[in-house]
Amino acid sequence: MKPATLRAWSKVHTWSSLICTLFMLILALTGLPLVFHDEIDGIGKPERIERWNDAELVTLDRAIAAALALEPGAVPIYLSFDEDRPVVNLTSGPVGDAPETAMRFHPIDRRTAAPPQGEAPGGGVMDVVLDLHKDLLLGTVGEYFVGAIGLCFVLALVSGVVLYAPFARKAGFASVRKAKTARTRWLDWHNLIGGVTLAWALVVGLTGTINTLAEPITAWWRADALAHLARDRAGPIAPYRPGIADQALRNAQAAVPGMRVQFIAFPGAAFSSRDHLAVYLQGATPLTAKLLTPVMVDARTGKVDGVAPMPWYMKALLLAQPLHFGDYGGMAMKLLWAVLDLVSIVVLGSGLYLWLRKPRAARRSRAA
Amino acid sequence: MTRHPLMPIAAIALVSFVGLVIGLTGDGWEDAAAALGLALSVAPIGVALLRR
Repeated sequence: MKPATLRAWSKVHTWSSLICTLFMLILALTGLPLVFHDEIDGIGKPERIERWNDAELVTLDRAIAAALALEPGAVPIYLSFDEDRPVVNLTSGPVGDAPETAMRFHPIDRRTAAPPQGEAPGGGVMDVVLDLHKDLLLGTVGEYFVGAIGLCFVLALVSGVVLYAPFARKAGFASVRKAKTARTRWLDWHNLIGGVTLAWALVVGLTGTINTLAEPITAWWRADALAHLARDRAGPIAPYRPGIADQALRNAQAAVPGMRVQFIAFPGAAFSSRDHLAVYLQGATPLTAKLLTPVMVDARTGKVDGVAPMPWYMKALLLAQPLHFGDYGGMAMKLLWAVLDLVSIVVLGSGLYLWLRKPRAARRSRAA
Repeated sequence: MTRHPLMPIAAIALVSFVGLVIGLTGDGWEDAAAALGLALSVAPIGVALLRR
């Protein structure tokens, strides 16, 4: 590689790294507890195996009525289902297309048609950590900013690999020159850790960026794949009527047998149209369980209007979530994910240290 | 023929990535494959630390 090309890549690496380092440190620190969110959420809650008889559970619409009674005047937006207990979670709002900030979350136990016993409302500290990780508590603008930081991080990784090639030719793979100065030792650690964790860092950076684009990707899918099913995109949102949720689920599962429900989006929600309930079904295998099939059910008649298999970009969005948080492979994977998160903090910190300790003359000549 | 200097990190990256993707497809040996791929990423760091 010519010296001028190397200098140009060095500038790209320096500036892309400097721009993203502070924010990446925040993301790495907040990402660490999120890897163990299930375990942290379970602290203080008695571990018990839930038992129930399906025949004794209240209907979905009865559970929805119980949740809406807690918030008079609200309408249902989403209904999700816990996997290990007969609890449904109603997300409600003042209107069907309410913004996320206006939504409320009500878990209802279908054994009692009441909120689960002993559960405090709200998600607690992990919700704040997730919001900080997702958008730095700045809402949609923050989400796009975090996405841009993710792209900067990917650029820093790619330019780092380009710079690493001539270095590795001289120093060899995974060597730390312990007899040299502190700066040289940290340069070696920076290169070693950055090199061997490259795939993980690229996957986490790219999937994180994809996750920040969930809203526009979903909006595109709505306008693209769901458009032919929506009759009147500008018309009024079909109102919720008691009985429709159970009817929609029954008809959706009859249309696509062998699948189980993950959530239902009501008319007006981002994942539905203005005149449909979208019933999201998941497969039985670990992979198909992550890829959802929406069945569009007419909100007025309860009849299935169509099955809309997700296009590639929605599948990419759904797969980006487990790939970003590393919570799909059991405790061994979570622990390794945490180790990788911690060593990425070392890479970020050592990069900053290397820049700060760079000889002034070299910094001036690079800047010129 | 000389080996390309990026060959070791390319090999580690490939194995780690394939492990991550395989891990998405199942809950048995697939999870073990994903963990092994990630372990391969951190192993050289452990080796370098032990060389101290």
